[in-house]
Amino acid sequence: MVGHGHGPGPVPGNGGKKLAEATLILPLLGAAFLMPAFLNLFTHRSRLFGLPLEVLYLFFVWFALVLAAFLVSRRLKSDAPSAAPERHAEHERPAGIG
Amino acid sequence: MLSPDLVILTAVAYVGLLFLLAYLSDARARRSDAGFLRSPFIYTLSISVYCTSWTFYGAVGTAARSGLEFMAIYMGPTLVFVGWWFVLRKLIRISHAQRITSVADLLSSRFGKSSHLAVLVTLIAVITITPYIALQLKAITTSIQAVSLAKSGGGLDDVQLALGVAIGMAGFTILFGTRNVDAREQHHGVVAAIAFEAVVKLLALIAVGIFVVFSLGGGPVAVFDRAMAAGLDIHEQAPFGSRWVTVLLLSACAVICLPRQFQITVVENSNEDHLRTASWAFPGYMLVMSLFIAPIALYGLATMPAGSNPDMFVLTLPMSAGHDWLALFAFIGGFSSATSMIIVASIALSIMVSNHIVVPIALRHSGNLEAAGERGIARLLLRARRISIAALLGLGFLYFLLAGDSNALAQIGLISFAGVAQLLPAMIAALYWREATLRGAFAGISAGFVVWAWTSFLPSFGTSAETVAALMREGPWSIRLLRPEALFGMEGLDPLVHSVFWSLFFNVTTLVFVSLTTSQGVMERIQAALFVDVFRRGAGAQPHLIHASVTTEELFFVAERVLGWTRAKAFFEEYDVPRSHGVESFVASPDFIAELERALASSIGSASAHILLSKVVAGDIITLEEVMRIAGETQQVIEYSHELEQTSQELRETAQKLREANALLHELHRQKDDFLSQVSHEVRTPMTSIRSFSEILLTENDLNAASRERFVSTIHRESVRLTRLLDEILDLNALEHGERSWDNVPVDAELVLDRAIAVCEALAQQKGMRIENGPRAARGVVSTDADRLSQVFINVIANAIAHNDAPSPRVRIESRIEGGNYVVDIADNGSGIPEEFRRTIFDKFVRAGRSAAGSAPTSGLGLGLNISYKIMEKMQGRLELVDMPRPGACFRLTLPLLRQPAEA
Repeated sequence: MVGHGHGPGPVPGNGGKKLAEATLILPLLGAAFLMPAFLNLFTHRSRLFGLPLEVLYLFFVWFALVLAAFLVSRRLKSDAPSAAPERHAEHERPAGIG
Repeated sequence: MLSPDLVILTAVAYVGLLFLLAYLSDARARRSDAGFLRSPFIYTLSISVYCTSWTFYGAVGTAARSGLEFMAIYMGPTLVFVGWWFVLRKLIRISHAQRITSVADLLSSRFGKSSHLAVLVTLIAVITITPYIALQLKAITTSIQAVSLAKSGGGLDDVQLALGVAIGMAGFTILFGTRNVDAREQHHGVVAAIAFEAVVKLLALIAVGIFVVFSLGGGPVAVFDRAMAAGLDIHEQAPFGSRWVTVLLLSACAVICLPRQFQITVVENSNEDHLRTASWAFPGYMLVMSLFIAPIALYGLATMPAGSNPDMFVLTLPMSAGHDWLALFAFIGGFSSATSMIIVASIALSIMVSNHIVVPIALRHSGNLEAAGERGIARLLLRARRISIAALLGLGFLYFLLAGDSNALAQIGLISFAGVAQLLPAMIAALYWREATLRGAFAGISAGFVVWAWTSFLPSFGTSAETVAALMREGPWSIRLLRPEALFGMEGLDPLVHSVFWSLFFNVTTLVFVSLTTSQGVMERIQAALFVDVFRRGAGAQPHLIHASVTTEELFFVAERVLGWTRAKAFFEEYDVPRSHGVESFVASPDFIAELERALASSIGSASAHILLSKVVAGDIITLEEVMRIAGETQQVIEYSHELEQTSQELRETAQKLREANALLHELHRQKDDFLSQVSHEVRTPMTSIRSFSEILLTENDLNAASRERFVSTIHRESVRLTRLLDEILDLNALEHGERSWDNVPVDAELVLDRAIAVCEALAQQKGMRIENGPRAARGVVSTDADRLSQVFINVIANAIAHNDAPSPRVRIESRIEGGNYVVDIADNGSGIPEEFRRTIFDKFVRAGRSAAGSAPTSGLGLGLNISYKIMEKMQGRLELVDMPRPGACFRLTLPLLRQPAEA
């Protein structure tokens, strides 16, 4: 249920753009799956593998979000400006305060 | 069981370890050797300052009391971090560009560098966070009591403990959190210590979890079974509802707005890309951290004696099993989470207090900057920060002292979240809504804060103060509609949901309504554009905010007060701005002033930096208006640049056309030069012979008649040639410029051709050759000038005769009607036109090689065919060289027949 929603995978061509959009769908989809309407589908007091179903469901959604964020963040192209070197230079300025 | 002394000693030793760690990291960083300190994982770990002792101990307590609600506290931040690309990334990008130092600075900077807004936000932060600090103190004292309870019987004095912890934390924070005034210079020591504490608390909780679940409980399933056997409900008591959503929302707000989170996530961030790792690693960290919470709570509830505090299960479960050292480790974990929160929160708050309250007051009330001396402002800042850290911890301690025993503290975590959540609407507006105004933000935050204080903060004292309890029952002045927990009669809701609903409702509606009814100042509009459009390309082009009616010496004076002489000097040198005496006339560029303002802002906040610079830079208001008039809103700027782009595209095209035209002109010019030099050459040859022969005639008196005759005839022949040449040039010129007009009349071209052949007959006989008549058209009436057409015929036939080098030369002439055209072929049996000339034979001065060898001086000037070609063109006809099976050259003349065949 969660799986198919955030598995865009690597998209050739304008994959960067699509992945950037995927980062918006992640929190929205995650929020949707955490709304009571969804959660209460799993609160009929049943156990799966000996564990309460709602606990399993919450951890499953959570884990899926982490995994998806991991995949997306690895493939998403950085558009960071040359901030890093600039800030680096800033640090090397004499910091004679202390 | 552990003795209190041992526990306290361990805590002190642990703090000592933190000192050492912070010291070493700072030293490393100062040697520019901070490589691993700036790794994304250190960054991620430091973000977990989010997990305070409230989550460390309290999560188990929450799980024991109200089920899975504790998970919402972690899942809100998870949603924010997996969506990092939208909110957090923008926040960090803006903060780096604008050198933002705190959440108050962010809002103040966005809304026109307003110092009032900064003060409001700072006050709200202090009011909401101080109880939170008190909560940490309470957690520490309670945990020390819990760990050492059994032996000493609770003989420790809570107050003394809390005071000791507060002083220790103040010492640490002052030592490592106020090493420099530049908030953008990261506190490497502090961050390293926080990251270390993050590891400790995670390991501690996991160790306890594994011990409880697997060693004591015999696996997770067994734990749940045992809980069921003990009569506990392992499932959610009530369906998930509005409280779950509210907690989710609040925790998501908190991870953005809490001053300590802002400090760590945004201000201490050294590289935007670290967010990439944190986006999954931080949610992962929280996931691992909460794995064992519910089993620990259930196992504790099932096995511990009734009435034991579930908040302390993490400590008491290992202890009751006799594992004191594990309990001590768990205590250190909880201690870590409490201290890291205290340290970072007090740093963040002290930066806000000093930048937004102390410095503006100092700047407004001391007109005398000279008195401050070098780095006077910097020293003032540091002192203010140290004092405010001490004061904040003092306040926290005071709160602990006053409310420590009541239930007020237990609830303060979420209440505090609800307080800082009042900043979120303004922050979202700051990032995404260009039209949001300062008044809107100010009013929205104020309204939300007031409602929060009334519905959430005040009731937290309900159990400890009788007046508050009465107020909650009856409402103020017995107005029941205003009861804090049933505002406007909204009863039956969870108090937290009730408070969050009303406060955010008033906050957002006020923000939107006031923003729509008020207008932005100039500075607001500029800042709004810079914030909202931070990702747009070219948005980096800062408008020049302050006009340069100031000498660099004055600027240096100001910079020195804040940055110190060394850094100010380095800064000025970096921008090549002279600053010594005698260069007063050097006027600083607006760019430089803007840069300087940002450099100062990273130390003292944007509002203070603006005030400070405005003090020395005179008359910037008019320029500001001017800037706005020119630039307008960014929208206009963008449209303008779009137009500019279009215009420049047109310019490029025009330039391209000009280039082409220029190339054509050059080509024509070259052709003219060629033509002139050819003509001169052609004229020179006959002139030379005329001159030399006439000189001979003049000087040699004893020439015989025959020679004289020969010379004179040569002179004559050459003059004729010269005249012909000049005629042809004139003719050509006239043709090219269309000067010579002729009348096109219906003419039978056959008759013209016959006449031309007759004229050429004599020439042919001279060379001893025949003109053969091939098949001829009966008649071909064309619209033309008979003389001109005749000229062309004669020229082509004469060429065929003159250049024919065959042993028995012949010229063959045919004519026919073909497809509405009158066509004449004039062919010879000579060697033909060499391949290399076939293309250019109709150009000026081109003579096929055989005659250019200079056989006969009269044998053509290279203009005849060119003239003929042009004439034919003028008559809508064609002159072309065609291939034929026989050797020799064949010229074909084509003329369109006259449309209606004339009767004649």
